[in-house]
Amino acid sequence: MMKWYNKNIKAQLSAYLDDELPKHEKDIIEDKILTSTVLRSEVEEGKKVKEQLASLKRLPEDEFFSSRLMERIKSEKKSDQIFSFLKKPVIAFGIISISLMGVLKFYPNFFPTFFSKQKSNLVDFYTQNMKPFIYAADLNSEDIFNFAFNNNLPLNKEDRQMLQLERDAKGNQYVEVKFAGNTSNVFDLSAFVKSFKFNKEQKHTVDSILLSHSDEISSHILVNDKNTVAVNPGIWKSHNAIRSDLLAYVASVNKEVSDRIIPVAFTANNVTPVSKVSAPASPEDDTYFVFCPDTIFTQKLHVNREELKNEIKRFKKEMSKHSDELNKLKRFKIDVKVFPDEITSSQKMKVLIDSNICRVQIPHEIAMVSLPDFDSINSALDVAFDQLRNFQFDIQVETNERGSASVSTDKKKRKNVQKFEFKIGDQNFVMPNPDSLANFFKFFFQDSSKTFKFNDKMNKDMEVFKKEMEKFKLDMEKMRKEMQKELNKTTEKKEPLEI
Amino acid sequence: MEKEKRDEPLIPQTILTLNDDFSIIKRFIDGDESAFKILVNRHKEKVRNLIFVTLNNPDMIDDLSQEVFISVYKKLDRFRFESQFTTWLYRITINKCRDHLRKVKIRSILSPFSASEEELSYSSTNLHDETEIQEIVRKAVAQLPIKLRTPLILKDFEGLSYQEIAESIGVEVGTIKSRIFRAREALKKNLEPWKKELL
Repeated sequence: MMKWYNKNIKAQLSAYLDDELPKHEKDIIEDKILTSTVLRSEVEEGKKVKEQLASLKRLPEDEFFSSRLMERIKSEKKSDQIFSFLKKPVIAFGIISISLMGVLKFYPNFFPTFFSKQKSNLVDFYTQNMKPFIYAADLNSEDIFNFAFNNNLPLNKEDRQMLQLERDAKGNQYVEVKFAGNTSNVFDLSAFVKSFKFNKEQKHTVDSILLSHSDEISSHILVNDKNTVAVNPGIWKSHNAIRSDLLAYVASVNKEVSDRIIPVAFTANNVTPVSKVSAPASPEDDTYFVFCPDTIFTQKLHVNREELKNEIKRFKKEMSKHSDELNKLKRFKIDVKVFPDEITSSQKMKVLIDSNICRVQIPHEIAMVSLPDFDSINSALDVAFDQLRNFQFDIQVETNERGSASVSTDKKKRKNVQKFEFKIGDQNFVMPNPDSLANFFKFFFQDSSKTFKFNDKMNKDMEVFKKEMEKFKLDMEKMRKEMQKELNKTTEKKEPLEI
Repeated sequence: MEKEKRDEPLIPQTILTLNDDFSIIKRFIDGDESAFKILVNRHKEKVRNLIFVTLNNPDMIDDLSQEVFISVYKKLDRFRFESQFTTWLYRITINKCRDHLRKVKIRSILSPFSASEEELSYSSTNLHDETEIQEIVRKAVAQLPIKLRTPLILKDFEGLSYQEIAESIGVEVGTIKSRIFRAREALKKNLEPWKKELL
């Protein structure tokens, strides 16, 4: 309250100093000043502030100011007169239209040439100094496994930039460059090794299979210092080749497991490591999707793969010799050849750009993989890998419960493990006990995130099978209760020991 | 040019009054271009000084003053003779100063390493020179927010009434009263280190 009063009095004093108070307010404030020394000193201070401002020296008169100004006005008037007709929108629009018509009449290719030149400038800028991906990140077996199994590959581990391969329900293939991508993969290399109980040697073989694809991946991804990433759609081939190789190895090491996860149409005998199939060179091999900060385009870039292989060999050899001078050695001699006149602008690409994702659908003419019979095994690979996940999900469950085996007993291992075998379509499933069986059905039939692709006949069979399984489930429940009763009876019969 | 020479002695500068501003403007509107030069000569110093005290930047005085008068030249035929010409002129000048400060602010945002605002750097012991005192007061005024700075300058430097300031800035008289009071309080604070010498 006191503060407000003081502030109000001071504001009144300020107006009093400016002689801006009405007479009655002026009388009141003058009375207050007479009775208060504080207010008197405030008035004195205020007067001095006013004086300081009033006494500020004026600028010396500028005699030629008006002459300069009039000259400027004259020149502005002249230029205004010249272009005054442009101020009328109709005339301006007419002139622009006529000049455009003239340009198009005499130089019909003016705009296409202009835009193409601008495009090629942009392409030149962003494709300068492109180098294979090996510069940006040293891929380890874990990265390559994630690429094969989880479809993602880290492009820049520090900036969390990654490459993602996607396929939609219609089978269209996509290549995505994700910024700030999250690389938490549920099923990783260690889980894979654990699932198949690989020993040290087998693990080493898996690593070497994965690392053997590192160079191939490197040649499919080019990067430069302008934050450009060029991806060759052929990376899908490498992706499938790694999967095929892994599956072939699993089949060779553990036939029992491979029988469970690999569809009948694609039996273990048919699993051929794709990397062993020599891919004929196709003209599309040089087409890259170039993701740069401003745009996405396709461009033919040529990497001499033989030269690249030799360079990588040299690099690795030198690296082992001089690990401390690693950075210097990262200067590869290999260069990427750009085809300036072959901007593939006619190719229609479906592009999706979000705040942190750039996705490109691979056009069908590029997506065509030129490997023999690859399409047929490709979908089988997908099914096999899906089942590999399921395999890992359920089969690991074991029970410690003791009791007589009601369905079958694994006598070889001499364990009282109950085992249930059943068939869905052409697929065999083995469950170790009734509880895991129940869990499996819960997962199999109720998980909406899971998609199963069966044809109509299979769907009908599935319906029949579903009903049978329901019945089977009820029987099993009944049997379990009976077993429990039996168990109780035997324990009841036991008489206490007499000491 | 000859026409200008003939016109000037007809209206001697010393005896011009408020009405004369209006008559000069009317002559200009009627097509007498030389009348504009007379108008400029009458008010150029007011404009130049107001720009100098408001911005405290001698380099900008000439450019901004010219821009002010070019605006006046372009808009003079729309002058409505409802208020004094000076009120209208001050309004244009203040707007030009604000535009300039806005541009400077944007430029400083875009180039964060440019020179920061000058600070009051004189020590309180060497204030013997009148020029130094003037410089300190100018800088202290220049540090006030533009909202407070303009009414204070128009009042204490140009000697306008609250009503005239209100019309020039386009706000209520009560607001002007409050802003001038706040400006003086802020100025006192800025001049606190030199209180003994200045206040």
